[in-house]
Amino acid sequence: MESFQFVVNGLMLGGIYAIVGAGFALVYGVMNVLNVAHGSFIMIGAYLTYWTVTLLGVDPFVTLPASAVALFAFGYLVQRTVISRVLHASIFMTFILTFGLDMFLINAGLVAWGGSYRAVRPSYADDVLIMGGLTIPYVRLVVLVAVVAVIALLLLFMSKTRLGIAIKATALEREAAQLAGVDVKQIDAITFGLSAALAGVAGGLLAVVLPFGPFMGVPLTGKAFTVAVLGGLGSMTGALYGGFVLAFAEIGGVIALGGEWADGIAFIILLVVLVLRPRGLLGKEFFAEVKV
Amino acid sequence: MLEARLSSFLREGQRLQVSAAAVGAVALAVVLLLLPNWLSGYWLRITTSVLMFATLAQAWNIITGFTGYPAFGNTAFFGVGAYALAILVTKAGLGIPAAIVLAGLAAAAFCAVIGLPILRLQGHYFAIATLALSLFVREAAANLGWLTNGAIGIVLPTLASGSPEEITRPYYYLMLLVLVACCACTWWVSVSRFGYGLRSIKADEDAAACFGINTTLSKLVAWVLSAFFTGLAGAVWALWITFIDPQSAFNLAIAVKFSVMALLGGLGTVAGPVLGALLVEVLTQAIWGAFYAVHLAVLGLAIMLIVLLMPGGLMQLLRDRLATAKRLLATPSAKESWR
Repeated sequence: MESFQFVVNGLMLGGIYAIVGAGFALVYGVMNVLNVAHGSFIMIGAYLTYWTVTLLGVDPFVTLPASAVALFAFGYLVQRTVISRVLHASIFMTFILTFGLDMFLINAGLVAWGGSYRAVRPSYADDVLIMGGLTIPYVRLVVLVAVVAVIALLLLFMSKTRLGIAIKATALEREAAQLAGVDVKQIDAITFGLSAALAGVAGGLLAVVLPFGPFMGVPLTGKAFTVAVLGGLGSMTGALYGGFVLAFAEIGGVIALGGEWADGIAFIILLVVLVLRPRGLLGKEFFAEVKV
Repeated sequence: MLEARLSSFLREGQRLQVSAAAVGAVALAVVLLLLPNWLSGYWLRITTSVLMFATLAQAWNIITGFTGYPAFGNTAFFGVGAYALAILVTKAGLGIPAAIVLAGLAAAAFCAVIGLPILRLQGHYFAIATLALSLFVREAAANLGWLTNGAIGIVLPTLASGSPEEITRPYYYLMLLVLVACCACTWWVSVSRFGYGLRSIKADEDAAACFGINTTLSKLVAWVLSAFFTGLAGAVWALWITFIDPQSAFNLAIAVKFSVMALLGGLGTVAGPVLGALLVEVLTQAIWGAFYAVHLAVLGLAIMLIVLLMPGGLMQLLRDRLATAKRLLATPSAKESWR
């Protein structure tokens, strides 16, 4: 029974990490930008869901497509106005730039919504599914379904649509994609928007599961970083796997050694993976190229 | 004839430049030594903080600016230095000077042990590994209660009493000493054969190895030097702050701050990280004072603007300006030699 709970929680958390990490990895893969503000996009997504639910009284899961669209537009604009100006500078400079953006967004969140923690509670928040001695909250099941749906949609989009293939082509070989007629500047902005949209959806899902505040994004940026590295920096599918690896490692660490060592265990696993398999679990060599 | 006159003129100019630099250095040293007499307690604390961050940025510069290894997790050595000092002073009863030096050496030794496996990684993989290391050490400090008091933290004795100025003064001079030592070491790196080796590793590690540079040893020494000065700064910080716990000693915000400073100042230069620390710390204080409720947003915007306006860093900007000025000054004489 406990092991079943372990699997459900691991899949749910892993799915959210996967979505967060995939968006982060996409931006890195296409633009060679480490987006430190990724966690704050998640924060904005969480508040969008919170406010749509509170003001319109709709189901939180219905708000996800709307916040995805809103964050896509926001990410697109941020790339066009700010990020695109530093793509030719060193990677450290884009690191600092997005760090400044992160500070700005966190402060904007503090001013707009205050520092207190909030939670999204749909009417069925306390209902549980009882199945052969197992109790699973319905909310967690819906989150799990939503996570699977989002990942499936993302994979379909990346492999079946012309736009998705163009994004992959730009990530693999920018010049060649350009020669083949891809408008890489447009792809940059779309990728950044897509990454923000994924972050927004992840934020909406997290808002239903956990209480959140304006600073919620800071540790999540760290998780996105970890997940992307586990999967091989720049590889989106790798990041999807990395999300599940990290989630199960964290939850396993809590069960094996108690809550206080959980984070320590996750970091040690990360270190060991890095030292033994520097390209990540699935990363290919060219994904790991660093243009300093 | 003209050429000989020109070259002697240039030599004269060079000599003037060198003596001007020497005069400037002496003047700076006098000002820095006398500064605590003129500053209020508030500004003395900010200046001490500038010195600390300048040290951290400069130490980071050795491994990241010269060697090209982005060690964002240098906070691990800051925290190890702070904890080593706290444990040596409160549990082993050591004197302050010995404890500071030993704390720096502890951070260096820790770096030497974990450096070998981690330095096999490159680029972002190295960066994330150092981050993971620093987070792991924080968890370890929180959980090894018998040594570190865990999350409760360690309280340290104060060095001085009296007015705010008198309380801060010893830490100012200690921090200044650490910074001067760190800058001297960085200057040595910038002119020595060892430093050229590091730069060649940054440019192309395989090629450097082909030319007979022991890249593994060079990288390790560079990082150990960086860890030593970071640990010293952590030790003095622990004395200054008089209370440390895992959250404050292994605070990643410190890493973000010193890397921003070094990057804005200019990596791979000796003056850049110090200028960057001064700029960012003064900017932070000014913005904090003027826009309390939205100071984070304003600082964030300021950082974004600085990056957009000078993506090469302060030193690059100064060098470009200087080159333009020299070209403008040189133009008439160049015309003359054409005739």
